[in-house]
Amino acid sequence: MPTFTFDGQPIPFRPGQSVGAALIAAGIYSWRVTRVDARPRGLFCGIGVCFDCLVTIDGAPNQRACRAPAADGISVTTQRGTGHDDLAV
Amino acid sequence: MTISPSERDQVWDVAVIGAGPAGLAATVAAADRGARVAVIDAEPAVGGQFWRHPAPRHEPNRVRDAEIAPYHHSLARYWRLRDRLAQHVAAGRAAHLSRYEVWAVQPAEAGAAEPAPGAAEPAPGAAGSARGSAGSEGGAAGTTSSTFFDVLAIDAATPQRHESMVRARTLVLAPGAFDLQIPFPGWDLPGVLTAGGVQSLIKGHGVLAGKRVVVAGTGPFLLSVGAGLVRRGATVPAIVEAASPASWLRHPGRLFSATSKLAEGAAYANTLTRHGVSILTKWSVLRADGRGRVESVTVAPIDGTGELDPDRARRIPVDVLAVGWGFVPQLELPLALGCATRAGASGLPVTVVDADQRSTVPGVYLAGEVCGVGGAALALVEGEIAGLAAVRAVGATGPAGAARAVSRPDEPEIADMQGDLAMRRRRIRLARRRERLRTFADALAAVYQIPGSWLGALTDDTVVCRCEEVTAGAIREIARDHRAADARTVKLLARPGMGHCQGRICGYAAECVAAHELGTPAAHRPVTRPVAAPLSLGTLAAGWPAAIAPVCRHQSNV
Ligand SMILES: Cc1cc2nc3c(=O)[nH]c(=O)nc-3n(C[C@H](O)[C@H](O)[C@H](O)COP(=O)(O)OP(=O)(O)OC[C@H]3O[C@@H](n4cnc5c(N)ncnc54)[C@H](O)[C@@H]3O)c2cc1C
Ligand code: FES
Repeated sequence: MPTFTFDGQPIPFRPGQSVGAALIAAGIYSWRVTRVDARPRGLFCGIGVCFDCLVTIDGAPNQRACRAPAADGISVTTQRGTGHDDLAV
Repeated sequence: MTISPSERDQVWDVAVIGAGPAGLAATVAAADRGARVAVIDAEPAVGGQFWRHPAPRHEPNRVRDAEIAPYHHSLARYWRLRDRLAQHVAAGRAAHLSRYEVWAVQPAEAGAAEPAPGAAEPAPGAAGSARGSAGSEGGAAGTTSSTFFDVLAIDAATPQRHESMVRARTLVLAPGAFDLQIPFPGWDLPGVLTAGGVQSLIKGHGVLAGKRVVVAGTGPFLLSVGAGLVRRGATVPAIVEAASPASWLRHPGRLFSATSKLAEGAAYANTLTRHGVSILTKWSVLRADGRGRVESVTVAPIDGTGELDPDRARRIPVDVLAVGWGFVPQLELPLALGCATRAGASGLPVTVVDADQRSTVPGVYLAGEVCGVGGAALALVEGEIAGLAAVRAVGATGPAGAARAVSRPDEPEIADMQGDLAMRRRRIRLARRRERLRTFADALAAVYQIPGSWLGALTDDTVVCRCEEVTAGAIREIARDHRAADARTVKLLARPGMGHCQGRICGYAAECVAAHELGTPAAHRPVTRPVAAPLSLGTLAAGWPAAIAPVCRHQSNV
């Protein structure tokens, strides 16, 4: 089974799944810590609208876990606050 | 397949945004009648929310269409539309631009079919136009409109998020909706998901969100989510429905006007009964609790005064809570073009369309949830009507050549007349069906209203804006101090809706909280947002429009 890592831990996934779906299948529900109150967050809307599921993938922060396809060997890490804040909306 | 440079500069007859039931039906209807159509969608597979499918892959242990089929409805229709689209793509009549996120659409006035270089207006906030001319090869004859539309889309499949542009004579906007949410204490705990999100995990990824899931909110969609969960092996301790279905009895005529929808509902009810799922009606969520993630949900009945009764509350252990209160139409793109809106049956704004699904902006057609939440069956009908109308507008009328050759190879005029007649009959049937489904949808909306009980249960320390972490208390204070209940003032002062989601999730609730504080009704006016998809600063700085060819990535999982 292909695998990526989440904060160093191996996460198996099935091709076609998103990073967020694979994390939930592995029993992991949060992968972001909010900027103001340091609250844990994970998937909420599941369809790319709410931006709660932001995560850092291969060093790039602010990726929507519900949209990012899981891929073999990528490194997914918890995003704290704004990451590098390079997402303009 | 990459679109060749000459094709890149072409003007499509129709650009369809969204490949859900509405967009798919519009695309196929238009391409079937000989129009050249580009359909653009953010997801890897066509189908939208109702027919969500996994990303097409070929590895042996991929998520297969077959394993998610039991959670779908009307799949035969989906396969027909998908196959037809594949045929049109293969024949070069259509392009499916999957994983492109449309962030702007705008008219590009041009005197003739050949727009002058730089004639288009630059996008808001972007540098000047750098694009060359656009030819008109391959378009249908007899163009009546001199207006073009430029669709600017971000390629989400490339890490650089390249921008592409599609130019078309007419637009069909079918971007659908997202789950309407209202806040309650604990709603931002991990493991609290939208009902649609739980459904999308099953349909799109083959993943069960949790083992023990309570489904709460209002609307028949909760039954569909609950049924999917138990069939997939989850325990559903309860479905918590805030409305009272007894009010159906007040609309018996409307109820029986959409029998196929009823059959679908009956199937869910059957599944739920078989699995012993209890449905609590006139109950709602009081709060969710847990350390680091949701561990329990407390639900309570709504009493005679319309408030939650904490004395009769029940605490239910869960690992996931799925909540949904209906759907919010995605109006960014229609609003950016200036399409008029009205208050929909739920009170939220929806777009105004005529009998042909024409918006108030010439050349722009709208279909599906953006015209008023009505579900997949209505979206299909509206999409087909919009596709047919767009074809008539660009002049590509009559049956496609192939159909003509089959019916009367030696007498093309007779074949055309027969085709016209068939088309007219089809349009009459579609109009009737739309009427019936719309009546049914309005009746549903009347029954499944969001009760005001959540406002009383909302503690001051509950986060309302999840992005900027603005609490109910902060919004109430601003409303009191400035006597402001309109979204704009509250947003400027308390900053809800200023984060990544641009108020899509909290906008409805923030307005309700402020209005409730002042004792006025919430207005829910349409909110224009500058961008409909996240951009990187790099894309904006690179100027507009970038001359990168869009890639047709039509693929399916068969
Ligand atoms: C998460 C979710 C799950 C749902 N699940 C069900 C269900 O299981 N059963 C049911 O009966 N109803 C479900 N619904 C209700 C749904 O709204 C309708 O059933 C139906 O899918 C509406 O069809 P549509 O064509 O109007 O829109 P949709 O099906 O929503 O299709 C719209 C498409 O447009 C795309 N899109 C939107 N904006 C852009 C953009 N800017 N750029 C590119 N692409 C864009 C979206 O990715 C989507 O694929 C769900 C709704 C949601 C939000
Ligand atoms: S879960 Fe909402 S954007 Fe990913």
